[in-house]
Amino acid sequence: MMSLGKLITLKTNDNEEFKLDKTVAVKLEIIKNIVQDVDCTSNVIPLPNIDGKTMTKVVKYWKKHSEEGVTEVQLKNFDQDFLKMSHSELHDVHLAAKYLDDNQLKEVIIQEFLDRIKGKPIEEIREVFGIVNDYTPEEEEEVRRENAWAFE
Amino acid sequence: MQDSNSTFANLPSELITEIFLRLPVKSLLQYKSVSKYWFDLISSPKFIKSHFSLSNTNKENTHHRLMVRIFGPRNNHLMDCSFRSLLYDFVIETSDLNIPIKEPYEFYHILGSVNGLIFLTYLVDDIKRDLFLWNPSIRKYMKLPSYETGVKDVIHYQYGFIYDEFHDDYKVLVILFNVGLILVEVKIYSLMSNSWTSVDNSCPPSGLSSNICGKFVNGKFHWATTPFGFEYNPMNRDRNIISFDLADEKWGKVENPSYGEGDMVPRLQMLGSNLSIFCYNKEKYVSIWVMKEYGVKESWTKMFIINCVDNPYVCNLPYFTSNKGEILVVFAQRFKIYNSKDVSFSPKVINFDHILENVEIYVENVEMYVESLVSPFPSEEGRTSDATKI
Repeated sequence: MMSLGKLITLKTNDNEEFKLDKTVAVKLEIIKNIVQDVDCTSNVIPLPNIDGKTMTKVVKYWKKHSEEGVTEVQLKNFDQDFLKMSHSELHDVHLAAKYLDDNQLKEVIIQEFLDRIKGKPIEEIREVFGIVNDYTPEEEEEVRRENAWAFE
Repeated sequence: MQDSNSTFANLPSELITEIFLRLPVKSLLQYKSVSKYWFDLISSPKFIKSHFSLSNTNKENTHHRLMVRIFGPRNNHLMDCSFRSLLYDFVIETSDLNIPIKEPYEFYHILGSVNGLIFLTYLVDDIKRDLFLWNPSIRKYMKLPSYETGVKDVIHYQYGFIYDEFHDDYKVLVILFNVGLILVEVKIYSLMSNSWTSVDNSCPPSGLSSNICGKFVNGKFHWATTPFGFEYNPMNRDRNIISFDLADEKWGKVENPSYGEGDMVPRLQMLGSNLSIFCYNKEKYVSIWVMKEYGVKESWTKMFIINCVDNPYVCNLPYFTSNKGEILVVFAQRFKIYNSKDVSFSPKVINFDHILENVEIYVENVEMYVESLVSPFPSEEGRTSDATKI
């Protein structure tokens, strides 16, 4: 069993260390499992799939969301600010949240992607997703006709 | 060249699928024209299944809708409204729903909905019924093929409609009763095979049901019944909940709640995933029961009581629950929202004049459904190539 120190250290794949209050860390299933199951001699938990840059963001999110007495409005404002990052950074955080089994953070990221594409016309969607249109004009016309009412 | 920070170009298909799973059906239909790859992804049976599973359990009920059949002197139509909007918004999103099946029918019944497919029967004449599956979210419908029956002079039908998860198939059950209620025949339709089969030597325990469409829980359809015969007596104490097991095709019974003095003919409903009983009492109130643990008599719990001195047509109130536990009860001219966790809570009332201009109307029939991409057509291709598509 791990010693009962108050702090847990998470170590990313580029050797960055994050010291976390144990009460924050064990909220996450994966860390709880490691703390309970693994016979560690130190309080250091390696995170082989996450880099320091991404973990900084994740830890920032965790800390804010486990702050005592934090209000809904404060969290909403924080999230808005937190999500101001590039698509690829969002993707990295999503992967980290997935690895850490943090469903709440995962949902927040997906929702942000949804907000970014909401209401965009097809041409713009292709641009955003970097998709090459592989339909012939006739084929595309047919698919559009089939669901014409959805474009109303 | 696009800067990778402004495009999603490097996003893996897994994440794209995660995003798509949360999109409304209308957007997905649009996105089918983005590329062939997206078309395949959105059309794949695996995606369609994950999409309705997520929509069914969505905490906010974002993709749930109510189909409200409205009857009035000049105004006879189907109204469609967002369930989430009814529960939480001040201004309620509604629209008219165009039912595509018209000629040559005059009357129809909405009997049930599963994963976005609506099950409807149309009256051809006094005896014959045509059956349809309709997905209003993708605007597609199909008339079921007709079946052979030895029962002449059918006077009563009971139905069932479910998604058979184990076989990944949609099934329709029809029970035909003849005059005198002596001969009964049970037919099962499978959408996957697009054909009917008969259930052999099968006779339900006696009783006619007050709910035409069976409620499906625990692999079985259920109906609340009162005894056969023409000495119909609403006060009759001999009430049953009968079940039909889809796997072994056997009939059974489920324990009743402990009815009180004056409780009349019970109607079976669903409240979330549990069986529920709606029971009118001659003292002019309605009690709503829920069987919290399937098959356990002691788990029948009276959820709440609706006083109905001033509510006409009270025998037929449909009710629905949100994924957060609010209960919406549909009265003839208003909705009321109860809180299942706080029975003393006075319900939020939404009068129709808030959502409709014409108040000379009343609700005839309501069905809750979830927006989905599920096709009402039997499909040979697709189901087997499931794994290769995504």
